[in-house]
Amino acid sequence: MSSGPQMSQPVWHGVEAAFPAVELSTTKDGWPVATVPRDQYAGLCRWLKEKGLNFLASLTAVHYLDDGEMHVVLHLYRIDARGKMDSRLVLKVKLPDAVGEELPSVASIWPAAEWHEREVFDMFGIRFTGHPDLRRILMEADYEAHPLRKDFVDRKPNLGVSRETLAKDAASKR
Amino acid sequence: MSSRSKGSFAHHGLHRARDDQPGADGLLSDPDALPADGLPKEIAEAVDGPPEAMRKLEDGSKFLELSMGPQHPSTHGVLRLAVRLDGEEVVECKVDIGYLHRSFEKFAETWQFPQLAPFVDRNDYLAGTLNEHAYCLAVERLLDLEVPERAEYIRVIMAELNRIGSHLIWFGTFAMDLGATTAFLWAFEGRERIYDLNEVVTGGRMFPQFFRLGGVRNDFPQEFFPMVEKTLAEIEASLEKFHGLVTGNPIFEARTKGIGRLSAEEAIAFGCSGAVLRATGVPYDVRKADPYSIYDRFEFDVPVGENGDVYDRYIVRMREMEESIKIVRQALKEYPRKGPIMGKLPRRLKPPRGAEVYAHVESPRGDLGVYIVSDGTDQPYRLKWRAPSFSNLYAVQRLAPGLMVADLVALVGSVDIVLGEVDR
Repeated sequence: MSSGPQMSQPVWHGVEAAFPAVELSTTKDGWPVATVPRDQYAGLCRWLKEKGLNFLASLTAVHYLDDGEMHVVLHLYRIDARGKMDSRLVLKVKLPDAVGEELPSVASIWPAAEWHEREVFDMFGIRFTGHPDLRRILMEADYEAHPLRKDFVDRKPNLGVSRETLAKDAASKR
Repeated sequence: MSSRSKGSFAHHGLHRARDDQPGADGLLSDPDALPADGLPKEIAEAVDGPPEAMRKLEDGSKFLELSMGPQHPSTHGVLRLAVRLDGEEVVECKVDIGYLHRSFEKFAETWQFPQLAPFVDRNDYLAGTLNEHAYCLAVERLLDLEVPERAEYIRVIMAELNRIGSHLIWFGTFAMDLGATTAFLWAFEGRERIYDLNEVVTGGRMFPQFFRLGGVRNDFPQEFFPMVEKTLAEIEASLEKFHGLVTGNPIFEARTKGIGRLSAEEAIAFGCSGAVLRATGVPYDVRKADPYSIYDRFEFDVPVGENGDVYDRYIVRMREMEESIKIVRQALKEYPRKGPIMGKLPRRLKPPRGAEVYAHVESPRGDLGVYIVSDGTDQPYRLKWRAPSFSNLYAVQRLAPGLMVADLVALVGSVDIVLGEVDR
């Protein structure tokens, strides 16, 4: 039977009319997806909040190394006073994948985004402009890389004792 | 310098703690720069409490900067709170996490889908099967796998038992935070009985490693059924005892009522879910709002609070245990004794290239979501773990200013964080 909440008329209905550049699609499990150009991202977020998408469940990024793209992905719902989840939306914005690319912060729209954006900054190197406190959150403050990028190479691979060390040991015993 | 060191606290006999040294690691903001101008004004006013806490700073006095944790019993693991204190009052609090970060999401990109199912237990280590439920649900939607009905019943029974176990640990440690040692010992006795059930069914106590893609690993053994009846009756009796011990206790009420209050709008804005959100009066429960598995077959209530304070979070969780007992009893009654416990799995797991799914379940801590992006191979291209504790802990940072230090301990205890899933 119904595997999801009622989606007859989501609160973000009319997004195509308000933002003609937005592309709509659907995920495999039925979540509606709106892909927005980078320059309209902040405006669309503000519009969606006004329309009632009040709960930011997750804000994350996916690095497509082959395409040279970084997708920032937001999972948004509306939770009403009766605890119903009556609208949901995946919001995507595509950026080039260089470290230090900028995107407006949505922490002033959904305060929950504050830590999620810090995590995306930490793990992918996207800078959120206007963020109240953009620091690393999980890695230590002086860490240099952004580990969830697909081009990340750990400089200290965990291979136990390295061949060089073994060779040095053998040489010293000789 | 000397004139202001007397401070405005002399009138109620409090000694103002002083520290002329700047913060050791620069995590806390410069007191001269407060209020933090980076924060949008409307949010700062709406969520950082009354501006009185800020105004005290304007006389230029220095404050005590205290590092609670990472090795502190009340931080429930390795959480660090960098707190700036004015006497005993918290002026600023920065939550410092990441001590338990073990690169789960990066690691997930290098393992195959079935290999990851046992590993996700380690995220929220107090409720292993709930993690497995979220993960299996996401991968099953990605691969179009069917789960047999009997496996769904086994999943629901194990998940609800785990929820009770997790809430019992929370109750014990929360009571301990507030100084009640007896409650801690009693709660852990109940939790041991739940872990005994875990052991008899799955072989593991904390980490059941029980759910498989498309079903569960094994059937209930025969000795499970009398055992679970007995355990549920015992836990019901001990819930009565807990209420007698803690709920009406005037010290407990004085330390929890009206502390750490969150309105429904704030809780939703901060991304809170689970008992933290329900205590504000919003009956949001994924089992009802976005039903998964076979939860739509059971009768249960979603307990809610009114004030959104520490006390209401306590009451909501205590009542949730009763509801979970109700669900387990119904599921045991309807449980089909015959049928497969594993669905048919394709020999090679090949999700469509570029497919993505987001599945969420109601974990003991709230809305636990798993977002998986596939590149057509048998490994996730990207896996995001939406940990409920992560967002709930963010609310602590916003609620802390204005509280006393002892209330901060009650607040951290009441949101029921598990650092394993906060840091991943």
